[in-house]
Amino acid sequence: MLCKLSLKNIKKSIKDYAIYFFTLILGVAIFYVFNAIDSQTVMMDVTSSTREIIKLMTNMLSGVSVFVSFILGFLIIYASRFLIKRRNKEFGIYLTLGMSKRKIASVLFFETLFIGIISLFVGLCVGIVLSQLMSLLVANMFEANLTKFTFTFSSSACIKTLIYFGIMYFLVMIFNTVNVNRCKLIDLLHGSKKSEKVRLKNPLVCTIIFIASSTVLGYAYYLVTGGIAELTEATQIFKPIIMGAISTFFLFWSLSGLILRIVMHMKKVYYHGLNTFVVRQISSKINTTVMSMTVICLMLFVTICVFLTFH
Amino acid sequence: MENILKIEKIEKYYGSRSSLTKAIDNISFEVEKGEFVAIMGSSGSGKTTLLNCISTIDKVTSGHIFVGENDITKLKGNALNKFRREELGFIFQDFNLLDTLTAYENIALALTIQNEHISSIDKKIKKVASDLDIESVLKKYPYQMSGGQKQRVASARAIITDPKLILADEPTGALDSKSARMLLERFNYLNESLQATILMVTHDAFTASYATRVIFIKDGKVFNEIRKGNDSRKEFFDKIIDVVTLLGGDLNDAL
Repeated sequence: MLCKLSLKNIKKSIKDYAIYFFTLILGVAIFYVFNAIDSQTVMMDVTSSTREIIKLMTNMLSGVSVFVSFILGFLIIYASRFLIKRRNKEFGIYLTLGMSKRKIASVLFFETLFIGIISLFVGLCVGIVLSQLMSLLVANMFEANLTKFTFTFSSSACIKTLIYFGIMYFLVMIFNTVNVNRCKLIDLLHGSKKSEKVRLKNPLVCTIIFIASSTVLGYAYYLVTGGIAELTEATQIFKPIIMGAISTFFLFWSLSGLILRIVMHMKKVYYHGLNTFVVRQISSKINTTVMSMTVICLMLFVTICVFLTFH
Repeated sequence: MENILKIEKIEKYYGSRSSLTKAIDNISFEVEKGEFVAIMGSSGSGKTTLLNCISTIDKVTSGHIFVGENDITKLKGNALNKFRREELGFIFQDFNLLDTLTAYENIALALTIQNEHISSIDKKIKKVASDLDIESVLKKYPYQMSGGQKQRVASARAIITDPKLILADEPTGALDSKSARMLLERFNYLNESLQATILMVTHDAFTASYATRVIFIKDGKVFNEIRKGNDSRKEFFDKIIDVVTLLGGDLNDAL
């Protein structure tokens, strides 16, 4: 029955799960592609010096993929927390019917398990297809002989993906269990009735933080691009990266308040047509998704960097 | 008569030291087996808090609540789950049905959580469905039903486990008058024919007039209590209105 309940929940909330699902599939696929490059290039006919470069590159890529998996893990936990929040009432009903918290946790466990298995499978399929394209790209870059191109499957990358995502799902399950155990019945049932806290940010603070964070962000990007010559040691690269990450967060944090502030001042624009609604919607969306926006931006940054290192 | 529910001097405070609100201020009463009790009061009088405390959704600040022999203010963990599972039935204002399940499955869930055998589940659901007149909607999902049907399905879910006590929080609050009357008549049937003990919170005098006893609450205290006795529902309704008028002030907006 519990199993059936989980399956039904997934089926019904497929729309809620869609974006979560998509993130997972993409994550699995990218992870696989990064780790499969190793075996993609083995069969290529390249000179020994190029082989050295490729080896260095694959080592670096597998390092980066660990970092990416950290970000992904964070994103997955964040998304699952969001999904749980939406379902507070449902859990409240289970509790009033006398279901134990352990059983609720196991319903969640099954849901995570089903989604995990499906997304791993689909993600791996997508990843395998993508890695073929990747090998074409890499081959093209190093002007390798493409006559020997064959369809390849990297079992080591596959196993690595399975292990990493297995650990991630396991963490999510633990996290969910802790979350369920911590909640109180009265908050679950009446939590949705509480109006969401609208934290109006101080516009002055917003402006200062916006200016400060954009300056820091600009400086960080300058350091990693124009000022790269000043970097003498590899460890120094962490400074601009940390600076960039933090300032990206604060940029988004201050952005919504600022947009609202500016547009509200332009009364003609603000009260024109649906603009009031649209501006409020956008700013509240940015407000509530600061963290995920930051993570997505940083992920994009990492991905772009990784692709650029090819050139 | 056997006491199903015994409330002893319970208090419930909200807020911090600086702004203390006494939602329940020293309430005591008893409910016997087979009674249909309505708790009336205006909004903010503490009636829902009282029900939340009895239903273990919330915790009292002091005092004791006995259901049968159990002091439910001392229950924890699995004992609490067992108590909710076996001795309580909940009916909420906004139904609280699971959207992902059909009416049949919603009712069955209360039994499957108790590890009831499959063969007896079907029999029990058929019986309760005919009692509450919801046989035609058993295969439907909550969003395909009317409010009255949803509330009757929720009631079916509450009574199917044969609980000692059925707790209803404004059960007619989201229903139109016709569905409300139908639901309350079903409550009367459950109460009279099946000896179900029902405790219902309401602010509506019409809804309360279906009960056998009405307890009035004002500012977290018991203000008055009247019994139906041998009166007809109409006469009882008039009596309730009299008390409401007597209460005056705040309770006027209860109508």
